[in-house]
Amino acid sequence: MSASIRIAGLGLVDEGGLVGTACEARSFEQGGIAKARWKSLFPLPNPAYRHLDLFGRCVCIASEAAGIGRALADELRRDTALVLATRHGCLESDLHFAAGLAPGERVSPAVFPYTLPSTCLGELAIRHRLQGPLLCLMRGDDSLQATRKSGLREARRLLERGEARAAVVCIGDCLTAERGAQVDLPERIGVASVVLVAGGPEVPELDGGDPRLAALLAVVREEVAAS
Amino acid sequence: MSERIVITGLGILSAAGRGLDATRATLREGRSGLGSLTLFDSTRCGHFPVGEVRAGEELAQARSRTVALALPTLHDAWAQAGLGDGDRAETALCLGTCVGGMPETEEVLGKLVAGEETDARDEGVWGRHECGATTAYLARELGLEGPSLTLSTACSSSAQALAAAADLLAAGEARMALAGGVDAICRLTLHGFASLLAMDPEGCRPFDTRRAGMSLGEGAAFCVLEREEDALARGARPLAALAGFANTCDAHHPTAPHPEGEGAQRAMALALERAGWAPESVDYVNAHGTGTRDNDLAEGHALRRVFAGGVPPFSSTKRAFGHTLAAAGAIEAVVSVLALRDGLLPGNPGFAEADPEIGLEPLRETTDATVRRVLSSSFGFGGNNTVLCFEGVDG
Repeated sequence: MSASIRIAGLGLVDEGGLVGTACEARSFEQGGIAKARWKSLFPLPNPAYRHLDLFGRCVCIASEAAGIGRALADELRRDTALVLATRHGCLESDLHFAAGLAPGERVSPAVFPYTLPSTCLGELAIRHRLQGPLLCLMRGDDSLQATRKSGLREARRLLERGEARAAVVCIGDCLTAERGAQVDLPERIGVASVVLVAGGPEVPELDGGDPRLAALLAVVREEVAAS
Repeated sequence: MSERIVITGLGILSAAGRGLDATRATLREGRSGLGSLTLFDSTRCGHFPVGEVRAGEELAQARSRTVALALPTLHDAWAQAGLGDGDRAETALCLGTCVGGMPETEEVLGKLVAGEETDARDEGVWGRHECGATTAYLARELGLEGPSLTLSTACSSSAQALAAAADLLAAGEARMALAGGVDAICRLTLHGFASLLAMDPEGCRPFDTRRAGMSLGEGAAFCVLEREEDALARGARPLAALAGFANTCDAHHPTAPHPEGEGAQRAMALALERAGWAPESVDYVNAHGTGTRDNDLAEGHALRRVFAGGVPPFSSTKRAFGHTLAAAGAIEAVVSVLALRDGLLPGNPGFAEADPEIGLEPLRETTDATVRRVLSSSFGFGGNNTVLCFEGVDG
């Protein structure tokens, strides 16, 4: 793999639970990710968390699990890129907002910003003071692997060209079974977060022996090694 | 940038009309492209002037309004660049869009969410809905076999598409790229911005002291980008060069800009640095200038700090086209190239009285001038700031 880009953290959240370089694997005891509360996941004060849509929550949770807080030194944050790769993007919020367009209903100014995928990355940026490039890639196909690779490839390009010194790459979708059923699409909940830093050796035991993280790590290594 | 990236073809379709001549005429005359909305009934959220494209049957018959706006524009850019069938295999498509197929699907979505009956499930509606599906469809229609990217960072999407295309070309992943953006007016965006109280019932008045919000628009614009040596080798005539770009995040608020324009300032300064330009060498700034109180004030702060020695002539052309969201950066890239090629400094339609809080006055009217370097800014939800630097080329 490239000596110039190191993997500094991995996080993964889906209905099965949460796992990451910076946290032990845990399941969501009641209600799945849609009902999960920040305080039950991380001992961090985060009063604004409740405002996020589901996608934004998954992006933030997966990135916390990857250890974004400790992997990125303060001086790196100004030059840390945020990259999102997704297929459905904000479909969950689109559906929520569209419901407000029906006769007799009311559109919500609180929901509208979350119909744009860059908003959830902005939320992550606010929480961790990340001020580098912000990129949202929408995939047109159904392959999770292709989606993961496209996000990682763009992050790699930003690092190689010196447009960023670190990158947080979030990949995945959040379409609940309930919303998906309304539009004949299957449930698709799962966001992976990968922290990449230009320079230095790879952090040891990134996957902590967890098979889901090990699979993610293999994809990340392959894509980063392509540089 | 290590390799010079040049623009060899342009296409544009907006409320100002189709093509460079219609756009040039609108800019020269300082016309507003705003008018009444005819696409759907907006009684519920209020009647706001919009920049609607009026192109009749051509639009009505396409697979989606978004595709209908994009396709002729892509063909125009391709033709101006003098490209042929043999070039399709190595051409990338970088598209900025926020709404995708939403203008067609949103009514159906509303019914489905409300539990009403609809036969939309049988009509392949979802195949058109997602932004990435629009890019895939357009690439297929044009027979493009290079990489396809869909950028969706709200109002900076197509500026980012141009930057992403330049990166692809510099990395040798494509020989040329069609890069730009498209968005159509839809209920979701009109009601959404109305719910945020972000639209001006009088039509947008960027940088004016009475400004009260934006005006929604729709349209598409695309550029053909190539490495300069490739363009010259095939005998193409470059129109302008993309000399540099930068992309930053405010990390301040999900929708509002940093009040001091900190992220915007950093993006402008970085873009200038990467282009190797001194601030005083910039001849014109095409501002994001939406007409909202917050945006224009923050952008004014950023301009004053980046150009501490004197802010160059600047204007917002949003009233000529409406705010076309994901297409805005590409439409303003076309405006920037026209400024360079035609030697014009576009005026700022809608501006009458300066805002003392901003402390800057944009160009009131379009004037002739020698223009060699242009900076174009685009900002979006999520605190995203993208700035592009265009410069003239010989010939």
